[in-house]
Amino acid sequence: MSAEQFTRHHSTIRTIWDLSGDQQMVLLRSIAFKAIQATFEALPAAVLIYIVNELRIGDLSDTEILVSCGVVLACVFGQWVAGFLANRSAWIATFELFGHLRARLLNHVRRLPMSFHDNQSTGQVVTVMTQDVSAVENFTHEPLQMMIGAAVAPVVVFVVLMFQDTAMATATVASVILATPAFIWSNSVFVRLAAKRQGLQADASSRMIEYIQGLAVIRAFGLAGERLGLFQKSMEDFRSVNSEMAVKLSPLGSLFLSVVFLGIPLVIYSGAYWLLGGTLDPGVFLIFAVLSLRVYLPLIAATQGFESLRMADASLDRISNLLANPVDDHNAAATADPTTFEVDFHNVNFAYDGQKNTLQNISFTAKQGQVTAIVGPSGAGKSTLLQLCAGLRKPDAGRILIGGVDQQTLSPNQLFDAVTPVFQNVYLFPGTIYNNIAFGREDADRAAVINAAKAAQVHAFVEQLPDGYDTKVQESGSNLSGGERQRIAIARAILKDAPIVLLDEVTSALDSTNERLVQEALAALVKEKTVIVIAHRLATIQNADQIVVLENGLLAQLGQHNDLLAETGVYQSLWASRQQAAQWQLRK
Amino acid sequence: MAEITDNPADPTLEAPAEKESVGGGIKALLPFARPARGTLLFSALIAVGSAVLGLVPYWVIYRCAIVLMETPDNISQLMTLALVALAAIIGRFVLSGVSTIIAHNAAFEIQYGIRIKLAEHMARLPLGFVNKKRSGELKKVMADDVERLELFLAHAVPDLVTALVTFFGLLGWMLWVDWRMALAVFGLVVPAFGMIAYAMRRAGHHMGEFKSTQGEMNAAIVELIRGMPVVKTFNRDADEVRSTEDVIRRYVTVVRDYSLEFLPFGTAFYVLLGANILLILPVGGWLWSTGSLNTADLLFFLIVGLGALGTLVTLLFLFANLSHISSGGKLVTEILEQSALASADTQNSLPTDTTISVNNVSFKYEDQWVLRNVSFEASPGTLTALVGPSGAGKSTLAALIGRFWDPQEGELQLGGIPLPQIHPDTLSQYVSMVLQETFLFDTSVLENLKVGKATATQAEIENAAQRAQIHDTICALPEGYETRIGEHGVRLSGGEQQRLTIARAILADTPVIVLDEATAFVDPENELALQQALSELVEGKTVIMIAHRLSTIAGADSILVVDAGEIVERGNHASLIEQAGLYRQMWDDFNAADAIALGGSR
Repeated sequence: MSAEQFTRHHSTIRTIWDLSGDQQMVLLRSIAFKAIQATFEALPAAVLIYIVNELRIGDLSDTEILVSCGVVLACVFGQWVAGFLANRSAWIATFELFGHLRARLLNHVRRLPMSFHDNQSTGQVVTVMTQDVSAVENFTHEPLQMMIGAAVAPVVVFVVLMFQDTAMATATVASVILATPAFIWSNSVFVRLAAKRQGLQADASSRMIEYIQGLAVIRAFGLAGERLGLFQKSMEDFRSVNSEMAVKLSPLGSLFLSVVFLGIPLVIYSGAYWLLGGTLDPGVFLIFAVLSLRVYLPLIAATQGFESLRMADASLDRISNLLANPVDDHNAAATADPTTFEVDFHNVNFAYDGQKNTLQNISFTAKQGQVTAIVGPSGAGKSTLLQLCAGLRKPDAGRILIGGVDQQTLSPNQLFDAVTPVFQNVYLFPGTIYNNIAFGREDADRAAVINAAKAAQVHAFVEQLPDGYDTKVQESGSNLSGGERQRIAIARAILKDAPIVLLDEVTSALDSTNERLVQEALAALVKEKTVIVIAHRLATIQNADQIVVLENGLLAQLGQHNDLLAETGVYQSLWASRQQAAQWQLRK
Repeated sequence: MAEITDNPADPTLEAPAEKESVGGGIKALLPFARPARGTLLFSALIAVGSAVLGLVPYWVIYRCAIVLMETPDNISQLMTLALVALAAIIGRFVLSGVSTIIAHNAAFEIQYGIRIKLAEHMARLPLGFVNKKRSGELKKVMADDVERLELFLAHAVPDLVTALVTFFGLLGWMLWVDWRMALAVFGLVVPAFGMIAYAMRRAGHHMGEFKSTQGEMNAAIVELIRGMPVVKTFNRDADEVRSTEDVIRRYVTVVRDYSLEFLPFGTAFYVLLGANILLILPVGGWLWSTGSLNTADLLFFLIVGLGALGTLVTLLFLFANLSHISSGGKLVTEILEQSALASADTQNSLPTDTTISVNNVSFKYEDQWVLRNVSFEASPGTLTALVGPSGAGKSTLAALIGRFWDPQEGELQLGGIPLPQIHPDTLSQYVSMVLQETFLFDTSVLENLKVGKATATQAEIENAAQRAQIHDTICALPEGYETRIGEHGVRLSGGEQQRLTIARAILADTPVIVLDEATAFVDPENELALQQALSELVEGKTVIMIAHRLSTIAGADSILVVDAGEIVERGNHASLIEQAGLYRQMWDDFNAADAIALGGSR
């Protein structure tokens, strides 16, 4: 455990070092200046001892005082200059380094496959990019520097002491060596408890979020505070792991520091012993008595640095994990752009990791300019099929052709140019409505944007807003209704004008008027396109050129509404239950 | 864990202007310490003992020098001194360990108490206080700000006491030995603070820009990551990353400029605070050579005086941290001081029936009237539907019936008793809310259902699940009713979640049911089952239902059409259609939307 722990911290600093790139020289320079600063810091102590010794012998002259003052002044000045140079290098290297790291992470995230962005990892990436990077940045720019300083200073002093008296120097360093096992022990206990605490803290934290988000339910069922057992237990567990840490760790910390500081009596005692034996000069004794503190005191600071190191560790882990996600290895424009836009599924198989096949042996053709509706019970694989088509996931076997070209040979740019996915989650940028629509096509002029807005039933309501198209979209979306947001996203897709539209028909509740407008916008979007739609509306299904009926990952039926209705099969029962649901009333 | 933190707080992180007075900071924090003040005081007392013992090694070294000077033949005295140091050091760290444990345990106990108190208080606040926008903020207060109180309770109390005692102890001791030398020891404090003040002023003009570029950078990064799926779909990822890189570059330039201007004199501050030998030596040397300071006293200042400014730095950073901690403490207090909904203390007033009367109710949210002069009555066993455009105030009206808020004007009654006169626990036995967004706890299916009725038997639970059309789904889960659901367990589809919450409401078996868009987010494949579950739930109940799919409420006893906070039409379906008003228009839109087919090729 301890050895592993040692390598772990070693690897933290190593990782920061590896990330440093062209800043490594600057960091080295900073460490060199730190050593010089520590030397200048130790020198006045030497002067001090000289004075004390002269006082002891009764031999201190005014000249000596003056010279000493001059030396001390020079040392303080040297400390200032070296300290400034060390800090400057360290700070600047840190800021540069983390600026680069942020850019590198962004570029990495950009190249990750769409399936990565599509699931819920966004929140984690945001945490890594903001909080974790800042945490390691703050660690590198302050505690790490302090640790380096705290590690360099005792070494400088120790080297000076070695020249004075080897035996006494050994006595001085003995306590540090003796204390090391206590430190390693305490560290391993810490690591074990910290892992436990981290788990319980995460649990407590999610219970708190759950509590706040569930307040309506908690209130409705009279379960406030300690009456909600889940919440109470989680808070209690977190409290006890915290106590456990304090109770177990502070004796170990005390043990470590007392063993280190026991060096003082050890030095005095052994010094006295050697003084009695006549093998030690009283002047040298004084040097050790005073300077031993200079060896031990920085170690307190260094151990505190270790706490920051442990915290930076966790953040650095998350950064490394993000960088370890494999990027999309799509070909960069190897083939010619497709010129026709029929979508062909050829014996496509797909399974999520470690699960049975979600889609098996799917073959059908979605003709250019036609609507292909996908229907089937939940869990049949409808969403997966649409994601495969959008290139968000890759088939395990079989091929998907776009205009006769294998989708796998297209570059991401070619694929995204050909396909517009319109899924249920609408994302609007915090910018103006105009910019949100114009985002659909880089070279769009104002007339094109407004035309798209008109087609998507956006224009009329935007004209009513005081700032018109320059109205800012608020992040919470409170200034636009759900239906309006959806229509803006549709306007963006209309402007993009890709030949293939993949649509997950929206089922969320809009009021009747908004619903009609969204439907009209969608109808404009899909006009004359190759459309593959997960269809929920009876009208869409009835009018589709082709219906793909999925069941348990297999293509169960294929055809048009009237034909399928005449066949015995899953479609008949699906249709019947839809009809029934459409006519339901809460009470008749 | 126990030791005082000597490392300087990051100067780039705090703007001097934002710091508040130390006194104010402590005043805001002290109330939190009150529940355990005895324990904390005890811990502080032990810490003082530890601090005093911490000075002993300095004294021992000083005594060693005296011994060598005055009685060089009596070396065995040195051995005695070594033993004194040994005892003092062991004593010091034992005491500091004990003090740490006591203070931390007290702090964790207090944190636990505050979190429970916050939780209870939040449940009594008007629900509007805990809206979506604020829930992140509230979580931050409950988790992070309360967490940070530990720094005050477990560290600052004992550490502050220790640092104060050490500092004033040393100061007094030195003044007592020789006041002129004491001045020399502390003389550099003034120029040191001059340096840091100058450094901050010199670099201060970058502070505003620093804060704003840092904010911009993080906002740009967050926005880019959130929008990445869209950005990639539109093939704009490379451009967007490039423009974000520009913002990052700007941030680096600003911190760089700040550092270059701050560092020269900022470094001088730390150097000076560690360099008081610069004054001790000349002043001491001069006083000594003029004969007004004896050798022993000079030695004392040379050895003990050197470390004296360290405690000052410690104090300084403790105070600097306090102002950070106290701003969090204030947020905690702010929430606890929010006034809760008035509630009856006893459960005496029981409604006689389940008539819901809404009398001239007006409700204002922030500065905007959401409901104006709304009145209606729902008789026991009837179905009342609320319809209207989004944002009309339907959900607010439903929430008032569940008493998530109280109206500013008018009154709601259940069975003739005004809601505020009904104990919250009683009210929850009468009214169930089934909301648009389902909420399930991250625990087993069984525990989630028991939320509806803690004492329910397995048979009751299964019966409710069957009526809610969810029993078969539950049985198919890997561990049946014991299966954990939610973030750390099995994911259920929207329709399945909705049916679980209906099963929960069936278990609660309250006579009044409020349904707010309960069928909204359901996939069509689940729709039929959900509809059957709802029909089971509302059997024989007084029902208030909000619906957008107008066909579902066409059979309601009474339909209230809400627009812009007012009831503009009321009646049953047939009469409203005949009126040819808003309801008629909505009905037509509803049918038109249903008829629009995508792609008209057939």
